[in-house]
Amino acid sequence: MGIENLKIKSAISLEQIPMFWEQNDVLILMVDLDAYGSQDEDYLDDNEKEHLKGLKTEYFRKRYIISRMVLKYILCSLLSELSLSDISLYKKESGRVHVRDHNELNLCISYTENIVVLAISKIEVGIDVEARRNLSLKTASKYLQTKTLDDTRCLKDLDNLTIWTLKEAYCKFSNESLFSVLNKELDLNSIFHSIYLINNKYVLAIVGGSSQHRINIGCLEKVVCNKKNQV
Amino acid sequence: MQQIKNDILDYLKVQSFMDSNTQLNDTDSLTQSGIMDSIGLLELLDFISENYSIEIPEDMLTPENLDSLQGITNMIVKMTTDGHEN
Repeated sequence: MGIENLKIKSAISLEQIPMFWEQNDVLILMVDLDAYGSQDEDYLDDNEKEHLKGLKTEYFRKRYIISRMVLKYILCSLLSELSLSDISLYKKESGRVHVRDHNELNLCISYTENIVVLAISKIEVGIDVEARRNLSLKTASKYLQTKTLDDTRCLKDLDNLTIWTLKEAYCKFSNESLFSVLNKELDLNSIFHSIYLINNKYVLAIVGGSSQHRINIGCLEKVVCNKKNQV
Repeated sequence: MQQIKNDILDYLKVQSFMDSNTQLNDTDSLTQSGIMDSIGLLELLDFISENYSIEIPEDMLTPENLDSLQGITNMIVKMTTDGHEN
C-alpha cells in the first residue's frame, strides 16, 4: 500500500463545483479555517446552535461554525439552491452528517489544525486528514501495528500517523466507533482505499466502496459570505 | 483517586484543546465536548499506559472508560489495584 504525493497549486471556486461534481464521484475540498475571520452563528439552524453550546473549546466552536457555513454554501452551489436556509443538515446516531431530503449525497468531514476537509460524494466514503508530524507513541503503538485482512498488502511499512489516519477513515466509512477498531484488524478486503500526502503537509486517507471511483481533491477558494445568506 | 484525576486534568490542560475558559466536568465527553480529537485520544491512551504502567486490555477500550475524566480515573484506579500493572 503506497502513499500518493499530491501537490495542489490552485483553488476551486464555488462556481466551479457543479462542473467538478458532474465529472467525479467524490469531491474532497480542503478549507482553510484561518481564512475566515469572524464566526457568524447566523448560518447555523437551531439544532446546530444547540450542538454548538455543547462544545467547550474555542477551537472546536470555530471549526464547527465555519465548516457548517462553507458546507452549506457548497451544497447550495451543487443543488442550485438560492438560500443557505434551504439546506438542512442533520446527524444520525453514527455521527455521520446528512443533507435532509437528499439521500443521494454522502458527506464526511475531517479536521486537523486549521484545516477542514469536506467530502461530498455520490457513494459512501470515509475520510480522515491529519497534519503531518511524527506521532511518537510507546505503548499505544500496539493499536496501530495491525495488518489488513487483505494478505497481499500490509500496513507495516506505513508510519503511525498514516495508519491512524487510515483507521479513522475506515471507522467513518463503516460507521463504527473508533473505540471498537482501536485494537482490531482493518477489513479492507473489497474496499477501496487510498492515502495521499497533500502538499507535503497533510495525510489524507479515503475509504470507499468496492471499486475505484473518480475522486477530485482540491482546495476551496475562500467563500464570500453574503449576510443575507443568499448564494 | 483525586490525584489521578488531577494528573489527567493537568495533562488535558496542556495537551488538549482546552483553553482558559473551558470548564470541564467529570462526566463530560472529551470527544463530544470538543476537548480532544481522535488522535488526541490515542496520545492520551499512550500517556495513561506509560504514566501508570498499565496495559489496557481490549475489552476496556470503551467510551465509558476513556471518554470522560471520571471514566478514565475510575479505569486507572481499577487497573492499578487489580494487578494490571506491567
